[in-house]
Amino acid sequence: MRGRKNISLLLAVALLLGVALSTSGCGVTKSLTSLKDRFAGKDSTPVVEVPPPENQLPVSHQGFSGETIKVTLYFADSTGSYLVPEERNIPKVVGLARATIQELINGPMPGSGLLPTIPAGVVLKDINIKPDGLAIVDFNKQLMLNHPGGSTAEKLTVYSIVNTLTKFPTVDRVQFLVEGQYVKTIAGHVDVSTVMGRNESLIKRAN
Amino acid sequence: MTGKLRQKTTAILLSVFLLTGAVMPGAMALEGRPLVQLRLNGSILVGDTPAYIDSNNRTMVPIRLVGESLGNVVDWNEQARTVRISRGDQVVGLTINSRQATVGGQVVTMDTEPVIVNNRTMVPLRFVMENLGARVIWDGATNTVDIWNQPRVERVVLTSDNVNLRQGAGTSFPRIETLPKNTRLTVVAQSGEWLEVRTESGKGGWVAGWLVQDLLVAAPDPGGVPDGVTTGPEVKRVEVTENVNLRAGPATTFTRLALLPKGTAMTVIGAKGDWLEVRLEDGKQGWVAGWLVTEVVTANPPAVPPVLPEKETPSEHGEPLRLAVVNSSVVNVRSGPDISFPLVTQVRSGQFLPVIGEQGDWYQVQMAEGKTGWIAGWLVSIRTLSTAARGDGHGRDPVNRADPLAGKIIVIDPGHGSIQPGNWSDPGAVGKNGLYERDVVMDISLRLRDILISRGATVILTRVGDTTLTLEGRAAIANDAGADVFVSVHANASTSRLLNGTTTYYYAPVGSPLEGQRADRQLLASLVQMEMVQAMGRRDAGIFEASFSVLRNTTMPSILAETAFISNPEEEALLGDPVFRAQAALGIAEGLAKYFAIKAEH
Ligand SMILES: [Zn+2]
Repeated sequence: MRGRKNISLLLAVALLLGVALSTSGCGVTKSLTSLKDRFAGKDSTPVVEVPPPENQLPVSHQGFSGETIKVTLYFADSTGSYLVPEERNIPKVVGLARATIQELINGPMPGSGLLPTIPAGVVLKDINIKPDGLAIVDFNKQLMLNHPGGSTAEKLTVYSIVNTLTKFPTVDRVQFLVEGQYVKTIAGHVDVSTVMGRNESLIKRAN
Repeated sequence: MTGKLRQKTTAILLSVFLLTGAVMPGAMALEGRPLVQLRLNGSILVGDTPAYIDSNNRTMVPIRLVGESLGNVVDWNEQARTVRISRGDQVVGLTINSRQATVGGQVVTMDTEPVIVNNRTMVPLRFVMENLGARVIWDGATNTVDIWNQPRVERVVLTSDNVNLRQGAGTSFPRIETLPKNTRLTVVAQSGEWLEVRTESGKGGWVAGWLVQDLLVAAPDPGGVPDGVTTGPEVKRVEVTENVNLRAGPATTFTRLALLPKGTAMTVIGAKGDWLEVRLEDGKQGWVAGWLVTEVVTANPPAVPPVLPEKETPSEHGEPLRLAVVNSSVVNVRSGPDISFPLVTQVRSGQFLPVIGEQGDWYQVQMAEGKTGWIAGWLVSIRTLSTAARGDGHGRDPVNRADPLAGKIIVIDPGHGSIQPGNWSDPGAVGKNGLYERDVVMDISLRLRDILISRGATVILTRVGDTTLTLEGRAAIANDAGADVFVSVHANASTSRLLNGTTTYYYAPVGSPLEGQRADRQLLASLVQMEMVQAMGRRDAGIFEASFSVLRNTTMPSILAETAFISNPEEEALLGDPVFRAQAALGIAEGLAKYFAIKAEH
């Protein structure tokens, strides 16, 4: 019965936090969507809790040569079904891949009609590109905890990162880590336990 | 109309007034508080004091309802003003006007408190029921709370010798005794991978969940129907006792199709809770409130003894096979074609029963484990199966030979519910109104299991409650069992609230070790997709190939079915509806049947 007790305790914790599990339509129910945040001990408003690591501080301060470079980011289309590329000029810095993923985390350009693919609060902790073309990306646990779930949303999260990185000629595969550890999945569907290649089929074709 | 029925009618009418917001004398203390409709295991629950939402946004219900209608034991201590509610060995203790409660002896704090209103003790429904092991789902669209507490009697059989029956859920607990392989057990509870079981001699204890396998169950335990849930009236012709609305579904929340003048006669074709599905003279169909109709007395019912059908089934004469699809929530199967015959068993909505005989309005049906019985024709719909969708006819079992699902081993994987580091269970996607993917897919999976079992398949679920299994572990269950197919059941989500529809995934890329199954996996995905779309009527978003863990790691044809989008408000409401979930299960089952039928031909 230990497991059940834990669940009961969790429930009680959730109740204490005021998660309105059985409310009227009085507008309290909207907080339910962030239940995972609450279980993770977070407030419902998605905020970046973890300060970015030292070496991630404003890209412009980090070996910025004054030049810019065009990178391709993949965001979700307005229907939330496909990935669409967005080209963006960013400062040409040392550690361009990191700066590019940071742009992906920042989200699509306002007014573009595109939707973000990375949950709020996600921080890229580390990125390492091997000479053989393998990029190893390490995110904080918010990538899993704040993910809204659903296989469609999970595919877009995973492949927006993979497709953005594999757009660099030096990268052809991506390995995900979360808090420095190998993980099986981000949201319960896509297998991210091994290296992942580019997925062209998810990219919406311009007609 | 019997006196009992009339009494019930009054009670129901009363609560209908309350639910529709009319102020009743005696309910003054509740005035201004939003009232809530309760459903138990899919049927509307009626009490003499309405449920309401308190100022802490909690659904409060009379303690009597928790006790009598929900099947718990209630002990009231007048002096201490405490209530002890128990179900089996699970106990919740409450004190009037106090937020301190006890759950299994542990003190916890609630966010609201039990109160006495109009001399009635009102308690927080969700807190009590969830801590007693029930599932409580809030449907904001209809102000309805769905409570699922039906004891799902799971029969399992030990798959290995010398399995320890222990005093608790873990190897650290003392051993009670050692059980031999093939021992049959009844599951009463689950904790992680451990199952609390009863042996046939009545001994209780815990066994490791990985050492058991689901046993084929013929039908739900007839005793399992809780009080207060009607099993569907066995009347055929009725007329309305006043002007009554004909609605699109079995609740006042459904659209009104027509107003039927008093005295309108109709044929009952189904029932759900207290509602009747009817067909009018002009062929129009819909639902009416069962308490607003009266039975039309017809001429003497045929008193002739039933003509016993031949031993051979119609399919052996080359006739098309007919299936009776149970329309009503719980339907009686009797030993003869009239309500005067004794009850054989009960069957549930969505079950398919092969028809082997007919007499008047009654069908003789074949059930699992070779049993037969008679079922009222107005509580089922008849489907004629084309020869193409049928098996090869070489099976040994004369009934099952007709069904391509017979003898297949099918693993159903209800998505999510995985225990995460930190000991919380992954809810999957969560809808805006609080519906959890984890719970919805569990319900669909259990319905799917029941359908598949009734059609002769062997079914293994990867989880019943929450699980510590990884995604690879779920696939391994199917690999180890030598399953014929693996079906993972999910509800989808997107960052766009507009996205909706049904999708099925498979995985067998060219050049991978799974390439050899590419055709089979694609076929399985397209057939299940086709049948789900047919059954649920949602947008056909197509089949896709995706590198999903359970699909990569299964060695047999496998699919992941995304029934509908829980992130889409319309589909979230649908997924909250037991009828829609039953349609999803029927669609998947039919897709599997088509797959096996086609495979049998090639
Ligand atoms: Zn899912």
